[in-house]
Amino acid sequence: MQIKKIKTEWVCVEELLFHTSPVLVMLMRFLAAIAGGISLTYFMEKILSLANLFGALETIFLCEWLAPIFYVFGLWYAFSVVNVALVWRNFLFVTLVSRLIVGGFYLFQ
Amino acid sequence: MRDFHTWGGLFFGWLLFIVFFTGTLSVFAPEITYWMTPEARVAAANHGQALQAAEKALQENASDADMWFVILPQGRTKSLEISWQKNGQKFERYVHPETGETLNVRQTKGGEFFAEFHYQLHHEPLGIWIVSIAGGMMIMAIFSGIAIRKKVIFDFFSFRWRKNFFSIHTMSGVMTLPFVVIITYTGLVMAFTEVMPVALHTFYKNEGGFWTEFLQSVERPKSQVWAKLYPLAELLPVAEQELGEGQLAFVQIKQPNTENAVIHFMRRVDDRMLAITDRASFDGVTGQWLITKNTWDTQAVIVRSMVGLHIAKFGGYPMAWGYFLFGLISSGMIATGLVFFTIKRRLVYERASAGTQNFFKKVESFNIAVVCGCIVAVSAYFWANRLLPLSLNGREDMEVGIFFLAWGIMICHAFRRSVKVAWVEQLKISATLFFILPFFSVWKTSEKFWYLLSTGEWMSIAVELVFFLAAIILWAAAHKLNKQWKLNHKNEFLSE
Repeated sequence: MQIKKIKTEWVCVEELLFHTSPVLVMLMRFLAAIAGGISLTYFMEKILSLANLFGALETIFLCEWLAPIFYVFGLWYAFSVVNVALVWRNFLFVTLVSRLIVGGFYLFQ
Repeated sequence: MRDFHTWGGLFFGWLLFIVFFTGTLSVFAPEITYWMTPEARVAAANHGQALQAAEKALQENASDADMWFVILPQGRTKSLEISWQKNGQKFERYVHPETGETLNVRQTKGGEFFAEFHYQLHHEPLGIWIVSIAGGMMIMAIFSGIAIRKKVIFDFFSFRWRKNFFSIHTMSGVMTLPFVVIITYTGLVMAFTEVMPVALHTFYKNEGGFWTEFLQSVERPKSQVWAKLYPLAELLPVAEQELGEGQLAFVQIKQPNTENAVIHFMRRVDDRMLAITDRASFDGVTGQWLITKNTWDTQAVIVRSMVGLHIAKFGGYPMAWGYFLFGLISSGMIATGLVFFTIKRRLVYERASAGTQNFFKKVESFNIAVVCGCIVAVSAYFWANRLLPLSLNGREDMEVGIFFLAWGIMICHAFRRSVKVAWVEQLKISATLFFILPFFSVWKTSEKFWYLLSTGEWMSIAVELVFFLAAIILWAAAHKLNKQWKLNHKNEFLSE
């Protein structure tokens, strides 16, 4: 039932892969949240380090025209989190925990 | 995908309609400002004369200001405008380009109000955040819309257009697809410094430092030592040599009448897509040339060309009309999407629980309040410009206040009246307001239509003709809607 509900939503890639088990969906989202957070942090740092290569001004302009892509993916991610959290309330807890781990990683690295 | 497009489209569609509609109006911001400031229309003068007049007015009104700014009559901007900053406050005046006399022009935000409102909702910085989120949603709504309705693209190109709200929504969506994607994407690029400032704050302490380096702007420490300012008009030929004859649009003077004064002459941006003002800078006391900045690195050119694509200053009137029409069609696409949401569900909700029915009715009322209410508010803003006394203190804020007041009244009206009556009434109210406005304007400003024609005031005439056209279209829409509903009612009656 829950999976069927998810199926009608816009987050369909993972349920195509893991549609047999809601536990796998949860696990995958948990991992995705961690990986997403780490990769975003890593990617941001990489972008900022481009300043050594191109200069600060050019890096800022590069970020500027890349920014909409970040906004859209950020929103997409946020809505998928809210959506699945509505379907499966436990997921909200899982997402919060995973974000805390990512936040901790970012703060104490 | 379907649910996302439907529900995301509904909740953000209300905001996106407002953003797109007011953004569309802002394409003609200079013309709207021109119409809203009839006292500023005086004889044209050459740049040298205008610059002398501006300098005279600035010396008389703001000799001890921190910064002066002169907007020269250029392209679609016909008036000579000066502004200055003192202790963080900004002051603006219109000046007679021959005599340097300050003109007693009614205070108004003019067309710039729509330009500001469409990206900051009259509440900076919160408005920028809200509009940016809505912009991101728009891009997602576009792609989810394509994903769920691939067939409409084939229908569009094979001319399978039908006369219903769904078809208008999908067909106008396909027609304006490249325009909407470009305008939304470039709009998001422009919100970068507010919404994703990490990189900027990492390299610079604030936005000012970034712009100073980017523009290679000459910054000097603040000074209180008086020194005579070099005559601006005498530097004009040198600046024109650097930036092109007759191409100057703005002049900025930092720390005027001090030993550290710097004069920046800036080139126009309305003849190319790249929205950066090339500039030539001079010492404000000796008149010595300091730097000319007219070449930009590739990244800056990419980003500022995106800005140019969004603000649509290039390409003259054909491009402006193109943006205006596509903006209106896009607004219509959003509005018909909102209406289609309710039409599709009307029968389903009639059989639903009382709570669901109530929610559905609220959605229908809110659609009216947003779509028609926004149009009525815009006409009320124009009416306020002609109705409020010229000498009123805080007049420009009162105009904006009336804009919101009219909208508030329309929201109450939409929720108080039945849906069918409210649609027709609000469309007729907006049509009536737009139709009477040019006549009222003639009476209040003594500007006869034939006088405008004889003096070649095409900018004013065009604005008033658009008012008439808007009135006719809105009235026709109200009439058609009324007729359709009467016909539906009759059929329902006969079938019973």
